[in-house]
Amino acid sequence: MSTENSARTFEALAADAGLEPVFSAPWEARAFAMALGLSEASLFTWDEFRAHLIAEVGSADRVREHDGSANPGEYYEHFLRALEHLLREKGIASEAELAHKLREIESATTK
Amino acid sequence: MSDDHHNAAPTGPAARVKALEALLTDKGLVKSEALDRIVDTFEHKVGPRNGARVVAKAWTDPEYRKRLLKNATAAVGELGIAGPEGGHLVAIENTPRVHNLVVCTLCSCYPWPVLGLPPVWYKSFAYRSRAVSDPRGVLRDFGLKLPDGVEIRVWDSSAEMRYLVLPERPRGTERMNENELALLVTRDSMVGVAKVSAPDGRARDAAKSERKASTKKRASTKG
Repeated sequence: MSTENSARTFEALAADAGLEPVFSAPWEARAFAMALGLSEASLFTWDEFRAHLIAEVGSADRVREHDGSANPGEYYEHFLRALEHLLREKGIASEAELAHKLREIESATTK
Repeated sequence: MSDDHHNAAPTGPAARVKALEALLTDKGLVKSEALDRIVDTFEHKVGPRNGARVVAKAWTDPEYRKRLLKNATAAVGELGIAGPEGGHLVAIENTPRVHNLVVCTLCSCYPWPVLGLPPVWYKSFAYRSRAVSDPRGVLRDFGLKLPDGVEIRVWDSSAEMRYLVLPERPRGTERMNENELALLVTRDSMVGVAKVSAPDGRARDAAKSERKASTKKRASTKG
């Protein structure tokens, strides 16, 4: 991608457009990168991932239509649930494996 | 104690992402450096400046504009712009009579190579649900009041189609070159929630709204 020429102008453009950061927390960036990286490695297609994302977003929308609550910051939580769901379905990462890894990390940090 | 804690609070996303990355790394499916590269690309290298280059070229090169409207994927490819979620790109042109607005009602489909990742508002329930049912109201929320005679066309993005709005070139920019024009083109104008303003026009508008605000202030302190 030939971005060198335009990179110089980016700062001005970003300031002009009032852009917020692309990711609002590091975990959002990691979750996005894992989903894209795994799809580029052909463990699943992006369309398969999108179908799961649409399902997660859709179920939250139905809750919201019902009780009127809204939280615009929750997008990457849907994104993460969609990724976890797809990885379970594909047999790439089971719930038990993830729970085990979580405990392993927690006990390592509390020691 | 700690068991009670585990039962009470579901694990937060940051910890779950950390565990997922560790697990996938153990399995040899992801590499930390590769993830870093993806994040860096989307934080710093891919963004609306790419789309702005496309728009500025279309404004200054009529033949390019034709190619862009005919096959946007190929036309942005001419500028070296390509990547995931860039296929099936369609450029839609604003005119004095037609204003185009892009949404993804189901999730967050967006033309990454030309605009980067979508902003928070684009993914919000409020925008996704209202863009189709009340586009004029949504545009008003963004500070854009269109004359009643202007038709608003709403484009719902999908896996098959991604849209890039080609905004109108503002008056008063006839002497500006392609690089200068690219600086005027904002992300919001390429999604269709804003127009592109000429530098002078922008200064004038700002002055006008400042005057308006101070008049209001005076009126309210009097009252």
